[in-house]
Amino acid sequence: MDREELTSGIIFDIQGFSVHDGPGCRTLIFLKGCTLRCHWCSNPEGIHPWPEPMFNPDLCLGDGNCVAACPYDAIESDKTGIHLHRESCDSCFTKSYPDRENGIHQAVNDQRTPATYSLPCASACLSGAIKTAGYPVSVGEIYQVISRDRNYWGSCGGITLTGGEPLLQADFATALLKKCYEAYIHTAIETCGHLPWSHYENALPWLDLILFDIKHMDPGKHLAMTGVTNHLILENARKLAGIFKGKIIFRIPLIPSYNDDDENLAAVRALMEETGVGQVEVLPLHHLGREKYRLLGRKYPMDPALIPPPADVKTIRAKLSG
Amino acid sequence: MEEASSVYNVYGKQPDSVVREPEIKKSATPRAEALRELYFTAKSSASMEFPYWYTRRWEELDGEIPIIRRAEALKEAFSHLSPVIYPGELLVMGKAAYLRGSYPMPWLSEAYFMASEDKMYKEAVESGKLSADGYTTWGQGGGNVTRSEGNVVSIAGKFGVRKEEVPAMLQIARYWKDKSVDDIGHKYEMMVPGYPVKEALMRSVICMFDSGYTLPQGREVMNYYYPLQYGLGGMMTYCEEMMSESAGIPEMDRLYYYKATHLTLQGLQRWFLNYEKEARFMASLETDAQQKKEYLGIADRMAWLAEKPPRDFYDALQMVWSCHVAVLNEDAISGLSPGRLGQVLYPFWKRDTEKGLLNREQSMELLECMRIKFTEIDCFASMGVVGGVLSGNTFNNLCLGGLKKDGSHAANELEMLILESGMSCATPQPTLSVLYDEKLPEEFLMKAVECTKIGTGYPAWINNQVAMAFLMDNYGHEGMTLEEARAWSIGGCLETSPGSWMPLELDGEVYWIPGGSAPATSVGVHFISLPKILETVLFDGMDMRTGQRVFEPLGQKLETWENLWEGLKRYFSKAVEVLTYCNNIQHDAWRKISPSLVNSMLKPDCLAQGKDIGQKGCRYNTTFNIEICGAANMVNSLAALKRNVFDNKEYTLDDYRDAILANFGYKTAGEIGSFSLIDQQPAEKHLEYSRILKSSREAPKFGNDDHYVDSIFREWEEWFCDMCHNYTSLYNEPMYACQISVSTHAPMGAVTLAGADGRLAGTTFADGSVSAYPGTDKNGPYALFNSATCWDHSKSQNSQLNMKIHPSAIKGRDGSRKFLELIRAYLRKGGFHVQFNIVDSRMLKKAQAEPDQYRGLMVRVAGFTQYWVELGKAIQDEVIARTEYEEV
Repeated sequence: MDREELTSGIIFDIQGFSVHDGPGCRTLIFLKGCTLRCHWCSNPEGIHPWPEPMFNPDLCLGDGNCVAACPYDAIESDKTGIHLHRESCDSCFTKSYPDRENGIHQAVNDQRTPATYSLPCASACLSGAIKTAGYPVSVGEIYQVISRDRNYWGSCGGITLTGGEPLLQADFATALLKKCYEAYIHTAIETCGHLPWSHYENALPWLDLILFDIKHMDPGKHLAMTGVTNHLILENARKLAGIFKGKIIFRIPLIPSYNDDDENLAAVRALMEETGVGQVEVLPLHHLGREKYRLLGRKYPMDPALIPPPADVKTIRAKLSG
Repeated sequence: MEEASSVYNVYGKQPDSVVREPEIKKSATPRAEALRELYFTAKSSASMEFPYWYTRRWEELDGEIPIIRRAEALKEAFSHLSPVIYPGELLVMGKAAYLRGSYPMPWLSEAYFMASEDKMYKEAVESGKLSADGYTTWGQGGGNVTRSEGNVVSIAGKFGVRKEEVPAMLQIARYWKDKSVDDIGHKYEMMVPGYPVKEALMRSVICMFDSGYTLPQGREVMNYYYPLQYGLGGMMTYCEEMMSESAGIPEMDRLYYYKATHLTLQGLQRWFLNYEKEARFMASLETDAQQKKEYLGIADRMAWLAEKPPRDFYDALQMVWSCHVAVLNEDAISGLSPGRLGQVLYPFWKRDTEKGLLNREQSMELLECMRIKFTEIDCFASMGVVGGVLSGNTFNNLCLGGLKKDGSHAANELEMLILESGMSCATPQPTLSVLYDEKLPEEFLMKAVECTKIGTGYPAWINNQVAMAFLMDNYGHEGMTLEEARAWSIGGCLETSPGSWMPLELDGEVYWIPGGSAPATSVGVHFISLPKILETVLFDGMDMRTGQRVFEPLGQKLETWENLWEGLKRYFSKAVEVLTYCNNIQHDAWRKISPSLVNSMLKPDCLAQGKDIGQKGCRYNTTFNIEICGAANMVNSLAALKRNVFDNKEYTLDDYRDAILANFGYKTAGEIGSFSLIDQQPAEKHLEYSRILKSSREAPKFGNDDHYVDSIFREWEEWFCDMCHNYTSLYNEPMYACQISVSTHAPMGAVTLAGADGRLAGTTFADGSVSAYPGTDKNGPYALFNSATCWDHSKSQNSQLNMKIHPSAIKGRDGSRKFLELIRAYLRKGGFHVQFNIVDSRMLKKAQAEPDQYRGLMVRVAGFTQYWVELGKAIQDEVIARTEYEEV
């Protein structure tokens, strides 16, 4: 196995037969860790970079096995059930594998088979109430899955790295993209754009398609709902449009009364004209991910009643396609 | 073969009404719509008309040569069937005088439809024959008559019969006591060494039912060539010629056969002519000019067809339907498939359309009427058979596509219309299957995808080349050639059945049409429950549910993985051996007492040889098979035992025996009244078992592309498919493997203790044969496909994969193309069959109630990952609401 195949990272899912993220039937790889904190995020388990517990109190039998198993005394048990102090959870992985570069790789080696990584609390849980979101995996292991899946994609499938922000784990993502690209597999990423340029630079030669998210054109409003301004994002978008030889598609999560006004849409339109990016996908807000917030012990920041009316989505799609 | 509302194929429940996937909106012609409404209001009704006349004539002819006696009885019964024509019908005739009519055939078995207090019924229960009935429940909706009401008595839990007919029914049943196929067969099967094992197998429901007398025909493909080419009159003339040729010449059975066939044809002719009379009578009363004209048209057609071959497409379709019903009326039959009807009728259709005699609208109307006719078919058998095995489904499988005799693709414009009518007039029957071949044109395949998307569960997608390889392998010794292998079709729900090419001559041109040329398949050993066999291995031959011994003790401790494997093979082989012998005797009784005459005269080469089906008159006769159920659960249990007991030594077999008997500390499914895994409730001691339960559930599971467990599956399949050839059918041909669960995975699960795979006692097994156990395939469809194809499917008569898909994954035109990619990819990998439930909002509501059954459901939204079952109730409600009208 070459060095690239041993390059390892942390992902939280691999999903075959995905049909909405790039051309054809695709296999999606969800990489853990993100630079943004979007309120509407539908994969909140993809935000933190390390494996973390997902706890469903409804399934808890109250046997206390997890309390005893936690090496950081981060779980308390009382009459109302168990309580996780999640600030300690990061260290659960990082202290076991303190070396950032080689640690994940070592964790991969410690697993018998891929995706069996489990936090001590989840291993001890007998009821399935605690599960682990995120597991270490090597490029070689993912590539085995991809090699299997490519037999099923049909004529125009491929892989899409998503997450989280897939290029946050730049070396891992790049090695995976390169491995696939060289094997004639169509490669795509879905990126939030908020990364140092160097993260893109190395990955570009191995990419066919970039799904580039544009959340808002106004820096202030961008900051309000995603935790960062859009300066770096727009700069990256312009730079990519200038030099990337593959295809770029903009993606807009459509959030009612946030980014669906004419002014913002006109600005997006202008950016499209300026960069020459001809295609834009509008993804209407949905709340399918909100159960996962509960499992992560977080409050869902959006109002679940807020759903873009289908007619509006249609109009906006038409406006953006010019 | 899946549950819920709109899917007829899989678990085959019939709907209260028809739900359509909203993306594709089509409606039936007003005529078909009205007839379909009539069907939905009709109840399953039994009539004693046919059995009365049959039995009366049979009694009169005591001492006559059996096949003549049978023919006379059939002739008498057909001649006296009351004709009924419903306004608006284009195609006429039915099994009985009720719209959803059928009748018991006490000459096959008289005990099962008797009232429960009757002595005969009690006797039957004691010998273990009806054990499966006790664990089968009927859906309460639809046309089932589950309760007696007013003047209607409910029998066999499904059929209504008029009170005044009940005394006749009982009297006739009593006449057949000790004379029926069931009783005669039973007398002799007791002579089989090891017969007590058979009784124990039935009582423990390791085996589901006896095919010899319950459903002796079916799971086969019809052949309509002779009546289409020669007409009933032509067939009679042929019989007359052959009678004079064979009289007094050695092999005299031919004489009786031709005479019997001649008599039967006379009966059919009278039955046809009674419809002519009825149509004229209806016309005489009718005031509406159009309807009057239609009645008179029917009268002319029936009179013509009583004697002569069809003149046009309409005639041909009526002839096909009449012959189909005629076969259904001679025996208790499920799964009588019309086969590749679009190819059989194409010459007529093509000529009529070219001549401008038939347009698209008229064709559609006829095809829709045909759908309703096939849907009206009811099968009278015991609840265990019709409910537990068939779920009320009669599996009249109509196949499309495949190859022609010369190896070019066989899809045609009429098949496009058949798909279209399957969408516009969605009804349970005939169910459709695409015989997928790489040569099929894209246009046809996309039409079939469109039909799949409508969410009725059909067409199923079947691998043409895998089936042909299977046929060449198993029928080569009977002379099957590559060319002839191309004539195959699905008989019943999923049984690969051999066919032949017949030269239909029309206007001086010869068309090679495909048709069935073998007797019933899926007769033989019917449904052995693999998890239950494994259970008896763990408990040294005992059925721990009933406390009765089934097999001799193993005489060996299960100290190694190999010991366990050997024990499994030993008990399974023993079951197959005993059941094969007993079944052969039952079928022998059947062919002697109740030989097939109608089916025989249609199937090549019975008429040419002068032999009925039971005398190997068909061209191909290697049709007996050995069916299994619950393979995924058995394999998962084996994997858990291998890992936890023999490899890791985390637990002992005694730990497992204890946990299984304690149901892992859970209440039993019977106690809480639900057979769904998710509803199971912990009992007091469940914490004691939660660790072993977790280890069991975390052990490798089939369906995840995990070599550890898939290699066990593969080893099982290779052994099982080969061992079947060691057993010999009544016709002295080797048997082969058949792997479809139909609906047996529920009642068989109900009598099985917990499994080492973590399945709790009484809960339903995995459906199909290569479907994963619900909730255990966690790596998506591609991993499931890889697991499913870990063995060579051409070694078995079939394999079955059922998948549920949310419309979000296949939405729109682009989604249709991707859907075809998915189907094609699985078949290219060597999968034999795949069938989809396109989940509608009503099914999603069911999915909320039974999430374990929907674990693998893929709700596909851009950039989002989560399974349906994990969405949480409120979000599921949202998806349901949106599924109804909009994209997710």
